[in-house]
Amino acid sequence: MIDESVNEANVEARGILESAKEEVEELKSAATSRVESATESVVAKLLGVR
Amino acid sequence: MGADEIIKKIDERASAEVDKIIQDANTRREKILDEARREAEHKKQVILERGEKEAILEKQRILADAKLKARRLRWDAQEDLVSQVLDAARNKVSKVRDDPKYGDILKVLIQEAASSIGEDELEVLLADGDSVDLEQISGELGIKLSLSDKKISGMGGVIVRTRDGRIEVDNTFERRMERFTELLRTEITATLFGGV
Repeated sequence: MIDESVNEANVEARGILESAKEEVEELKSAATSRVESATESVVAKLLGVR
Repeated sequence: MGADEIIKKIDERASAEVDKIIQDANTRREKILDEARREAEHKKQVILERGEKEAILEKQRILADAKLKARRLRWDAQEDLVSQVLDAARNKVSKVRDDPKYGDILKVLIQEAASSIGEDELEVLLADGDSVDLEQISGELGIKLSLSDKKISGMGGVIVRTRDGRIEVDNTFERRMERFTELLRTEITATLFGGV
């Protein structure tokens, strides 16, 4: 019974991790286009020019 | 009563007693077996219930671990991007001394520091090779600014302080980066991930 339950849990766990990896890829893809503007904003703040 | 009849009666009585003994033994045997079966069934149930609980706990542990790893994956990805922005910003700031607008930047940093200190006489520390029109800034702020002989090192920026060194605002880029890091991280996160 434990083996069966562990197997089910492992399958579900793999699903959770796969889904998280896909989510991370989407997150990276969406954020990468905003890196430049975020950098400019930080530079402006550090230089005191805004 | 003849001898044969007596023997027959003795035989019959003996047979009856034997039957009773066997019957009693069978009854006891059944009782013992019933108890043993009940005990075995009870033990089986206990073992099954324990196994079921262990299975549930193990499943919960595996899933909790997976969820934790998933959160860690997202957090690491966000941290990588935030660090990427901070590194790129640091790299750009490290080259700002070559920018034609560097003089204006120093002026703003001096004004900001002087306003923050709020004293009439202040000295300004610059990096070796940097220059700024302190007379003009003094005039604009209505205070006396003088250039210190002491030089700052690093990426650039200024330090403004009272003559006795009692109050000092360190507006070097390194210190500004340290001071603003937490705020910057929040802003970067909001820009990159929409405030996630």
